[in-house]
Amino acid sequence: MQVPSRPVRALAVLLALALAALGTTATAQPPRAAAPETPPPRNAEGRAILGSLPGNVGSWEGFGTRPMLTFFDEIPEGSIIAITPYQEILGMKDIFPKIKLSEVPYQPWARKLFEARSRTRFEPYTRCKPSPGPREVATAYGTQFVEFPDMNKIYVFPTGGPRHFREIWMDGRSHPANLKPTYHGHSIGHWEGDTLVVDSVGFNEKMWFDAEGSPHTNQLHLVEKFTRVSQQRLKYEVTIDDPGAYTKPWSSGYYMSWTEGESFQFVCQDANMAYDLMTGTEYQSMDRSQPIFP
Amino acid sequence: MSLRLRSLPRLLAACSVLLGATLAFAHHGVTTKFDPAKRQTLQGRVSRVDWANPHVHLFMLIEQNGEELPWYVELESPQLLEINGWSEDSIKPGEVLQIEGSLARDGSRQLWGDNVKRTGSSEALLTTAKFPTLLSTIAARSAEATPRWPDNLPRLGAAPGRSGYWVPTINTLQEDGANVTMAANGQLANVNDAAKVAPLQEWALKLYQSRQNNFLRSDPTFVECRPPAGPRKWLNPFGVQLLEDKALDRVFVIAGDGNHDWHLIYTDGRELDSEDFQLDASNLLYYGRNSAHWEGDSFVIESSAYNEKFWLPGGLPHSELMHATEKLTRTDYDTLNYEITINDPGTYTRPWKASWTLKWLDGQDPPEHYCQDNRL
Repeated sequence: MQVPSRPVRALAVLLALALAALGTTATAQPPRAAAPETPPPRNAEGRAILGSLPGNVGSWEGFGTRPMLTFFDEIPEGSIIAITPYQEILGMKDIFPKIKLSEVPYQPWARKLFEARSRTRFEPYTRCKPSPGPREVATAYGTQFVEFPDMNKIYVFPTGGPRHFREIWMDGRSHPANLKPTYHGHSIGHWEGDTLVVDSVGFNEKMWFDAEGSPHTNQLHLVEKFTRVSQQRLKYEVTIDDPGAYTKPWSSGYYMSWTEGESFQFVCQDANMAYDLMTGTEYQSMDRSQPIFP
Repeated sequence: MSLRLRSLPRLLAACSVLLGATLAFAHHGVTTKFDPAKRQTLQGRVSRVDWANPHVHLFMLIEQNGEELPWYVELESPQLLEINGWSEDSIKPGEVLQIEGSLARDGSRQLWGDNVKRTGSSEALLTTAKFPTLLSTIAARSAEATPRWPDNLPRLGAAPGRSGYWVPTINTLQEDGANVTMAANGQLANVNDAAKVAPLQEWALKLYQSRQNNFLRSDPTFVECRPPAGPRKWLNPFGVQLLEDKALDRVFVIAGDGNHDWHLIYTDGRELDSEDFQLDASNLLYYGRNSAHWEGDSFVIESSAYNEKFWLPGGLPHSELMHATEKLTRTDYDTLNYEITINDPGTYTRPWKASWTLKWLDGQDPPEHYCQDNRL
């Protein structure tokens, strides 16, 4: 039997990339002492803003949100997911009551896939793929929320990852019919007091919506709530509703910390050497009849 | 004289063929990988449709010499196929197709498909020679004045409650007045023209010629999905969007191509070599450091600190000494005049200027486009 060498090499490169990405997120940000909390900034109408005031540009950092949505009250066999309770180590206040892994209402196939993913952690994000929802919001190096009032839109600009972003329509429109599935889906939002409520549908199945690989289908429907509880902290809550992968909707979330300073030009593709992985470049040596990662 | 006249019809025919080829190979360096002179018609069964950016692929099984061999047929990008009425479901696995196109230069079983038919049908499903570009979808509109902010400065984006973005009228870079013939991906019709494109230093001319002689293969923006960096973003066939964050004195630039990249232009008067750039102050960058100000109705962007990991359009080289001055002037709602002066004493013998126009695509935002989409 002929042993294809390129796929093996490509896998090795991928593994190295994935490990490098994991290492980066784990070591890049030094622990900080919790700052004394002050009230959130407000706009002219008195509503809390999620973004920056002039002279005080900053981003929300989700460090301490691993695992993002699930509390590992049980460890799947062979799992390599880091379950270090960063939030406790850092002394962060109000640790979010995440859903216990044993209580996530997986359908049997989804539970099996989650376990398989937890053994390899070949997360699309580590290959510079965009990701939506909780994974996007808690991207490494911080996320900015920018309101463009004239456009009736709020943009979410994460610094890490493939320089992706998301737009949230605030003009009262509904989701269009026959949405073409995309990485970020279609997001519409409204304010409930100080809380931004965002409803998103129209996702493709090429991405993970959290860092641990909770499975989903293109029926995924996310409802996210963003509440700036203080200048320094943002509460993020999400409800996952996907009748293709779960037996009922489930909710979880995390807190994020305000970090002063502007975003920088992070480019995930900067170390994108494995171009053999692109369709049409590997000249038939790679079997693409099946996806190589679940 | 008479010879020229007699040749005219043939010359015109040749021109139209060339024009067709230019449209078909509009972007993403198709001629890099495929040889327009090596034509082939394939007939076989579709085993899989890979509907992904930057280009769609049909995986085909083709019977050759008694065995069924796998072939890849590369088609245009999803966005352009959608403009042409296609969707992910237009072709289904199992269908038998007849596809005409250009073979891969390296002899692998790959074809750039520019004419697709169902076997047995005379009607073409796809003919890229007639393919619309994003620019060609912009409908003529009655003239509308430049939209302005309450302080009377021109808006670089949409008027309140509207949307839209900019699509360049050309995709190639050369010095104003050079008039060198090149394909839309920057491939020179005649590599001997290389020295006319811009005032290249000797080493840079050799590098440019070498990239050209290799059909722009290994352009990092294509093969590694690196950002459409520096001035490339203003020449993207998929356009560029400008979002003015007036409250914080900055403009978000969204590339319609690449990985939907965004970067910032600051309008707070900061100096390019200042610590105001924070984490970007000590690094060389794909998009450089950008600081802009208004001169009358013109938005003038000064930029520097570019890294050397990307190519200028068409494979023109640059160095980390490059300083660019860009001037954007919106003369009416639908027209943005763009002018760039490139001052790179590491690569060019003198500063040089290029200019072109971008047209407003009204009522839309750039759709999600990820070069990285097509990778495992």
